[in-house]
Amino acid sequence: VTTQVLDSPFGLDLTAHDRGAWGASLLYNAELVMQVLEVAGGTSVTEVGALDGDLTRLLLLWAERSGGEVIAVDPSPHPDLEALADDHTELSLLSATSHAALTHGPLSDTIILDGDHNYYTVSEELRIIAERAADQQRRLPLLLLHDVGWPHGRRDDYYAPAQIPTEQRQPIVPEGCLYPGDPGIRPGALPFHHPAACEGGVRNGVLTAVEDFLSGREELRLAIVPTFFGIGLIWDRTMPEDGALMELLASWDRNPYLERLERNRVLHLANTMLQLTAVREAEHRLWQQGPQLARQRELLERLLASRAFWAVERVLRLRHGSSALSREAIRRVLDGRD
Amino acid sequence: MSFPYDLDPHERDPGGWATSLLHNAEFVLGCLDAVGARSVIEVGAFMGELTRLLLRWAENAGASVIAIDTAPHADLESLEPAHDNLRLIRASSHVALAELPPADAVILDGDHNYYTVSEELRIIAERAAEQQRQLPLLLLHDVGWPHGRRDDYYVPDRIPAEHRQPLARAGLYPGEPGTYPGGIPCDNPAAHEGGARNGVLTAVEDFVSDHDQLRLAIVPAFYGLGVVWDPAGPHDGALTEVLSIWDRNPLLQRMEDNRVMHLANTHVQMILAQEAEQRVAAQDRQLQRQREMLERLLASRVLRAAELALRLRRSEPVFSRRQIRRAIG
Repeated sequence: VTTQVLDSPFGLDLTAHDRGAWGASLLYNAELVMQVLEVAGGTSVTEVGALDGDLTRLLLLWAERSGGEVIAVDPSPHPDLEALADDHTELSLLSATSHAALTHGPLSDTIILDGDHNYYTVSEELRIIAERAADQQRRLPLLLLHDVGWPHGRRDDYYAPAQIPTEQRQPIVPEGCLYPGDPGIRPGALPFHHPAACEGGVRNGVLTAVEDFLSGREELRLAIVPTFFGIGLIWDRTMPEDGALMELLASWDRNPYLERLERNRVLHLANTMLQLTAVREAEHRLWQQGPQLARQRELLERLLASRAFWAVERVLRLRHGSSALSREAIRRVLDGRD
Repeated sequence: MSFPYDLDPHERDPGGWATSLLHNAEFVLGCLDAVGARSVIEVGAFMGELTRLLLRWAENAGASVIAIDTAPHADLESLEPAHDNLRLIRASSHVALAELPPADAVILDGDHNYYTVSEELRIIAERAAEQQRQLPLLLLHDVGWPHGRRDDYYVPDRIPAEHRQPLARAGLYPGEPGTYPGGIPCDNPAAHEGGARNGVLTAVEDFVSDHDQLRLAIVPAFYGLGVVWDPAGPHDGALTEVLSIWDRNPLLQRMEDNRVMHLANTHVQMILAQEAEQRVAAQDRQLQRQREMLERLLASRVLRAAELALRLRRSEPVFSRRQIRRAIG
């Protein structure tokens, strides 16, 4: 289903890379992301998982307003993102994995994590950031993580499973489909490349990685904005902007009304996919049966037209008076009459 | 997943359409608390889903509830004997509002069209003026898509003809001002969205613009909740606090737009799937008919004899049992 979306926050196109309007880009949360960046007051942002540059465009608007810098990280950036980097000196594009980029690149004031959505990758990203901040005797940067809600909050997904150490990986169902409320796999629902076979449990999902990172770090706060697959925000409560961030996010953080709205949104998104799959399966079956239907029809038509069958019908009629094998009976079958 | 007073809004909503105002519970109760309401009128109580919530709230707040419905559902009727603080009125909103004493708050979720809502608002305002009271807090459901800018009528004949929009004969799809095959079905929707005197939000806006001191806030989720109040009253600050972040919030609006779009897509695809499945069933039946006929032919001794005779004459038979077997598959 391709759907036109007329809404364009900050004049940015929401569906350039999201034809089905899943709302999968952080850009769908544009106003809130912009407010967070403004309140956090830093001068640099790193975006992990920049992909096709949808959110990067918004970050460049922020950079323009604030005079800040943007670092976009993606191991295989889309040409649109590369073009964006060519046009903007304030944007540096690092074609590297998040772990390499976060280890060797500069440590920004704000880091957006929206790369590979699994426990191992996110935990490592968080560990590296925390270690680098400690090395530099700095506070933890403000962290903004996408996909802390359904489906990846409690369920890993892997772009390239081979790049994750085997012992850190959940059992995977390749091209598995997910349905909200179903902890297993639901054929025909929302398709993912390498989702974990089961939702929940230890060391599974982005939110679980966030929670495990937070445990024992009393100085950190976590806010969860449950819109468009969920945003997690982590910051150090000794940050001078702590009060302003609290004030901005208090109404959004784990708001049950927003949770209900998002839950209903993803339900209908998944239901659309289920129905779409049903249409495709029905059409496939029609197509698959087509040749057999035509072959049988052709044979029956040939019989109907043949003198030999005419003779057969006469013999049968002479013997039995009437017969289930008549040209009339074949005509009825061909016309679809019972 | 917490919900006020532990009510489950999905209990009577297997498709998850979330059409009950119950889904906006936090805002409904937040506004009632903000004005310290002690009496609430609910227009369009229907099955009593929101009524149940209002009753639990009223118990704590020491308030009373009047539920109005022309044809109350048995579930709503069953609430009345068990609750001293509930009065159920079986009448049209226009009749009931004209006769009832003014309440602190009125919830309007009855017939979703310009004429009905405009009349409800006019009657409420006139009653308040007669009694020299401030306008009650007004909560209106369905100020968003689809009824914000498009009338729908439970019973079109009850609306004076000159106040009625031409009716549609098909479903609705967000962003499509006409109709859309397989779109969301409504009772009797207007054929076109938009324009003058069409839809609940248009009725509210016209009412507010005729009373220039009033404020209108719109929480744009679960089909849209409109809140109207007099800012000169004592509760302006409290209401503003409840509503200001969410009033026409673009992110909330985007969530709702996306939600109803996928809801409508589900319906469109469901109709397509039903049609495709009917075609599959018809094709299965046809295959079955053909197979049965071919099997009968295969079993026929006369046909077998005919095939043999043709072969003996060395003429290529137009049919053979082998061909039939292959066609049966």
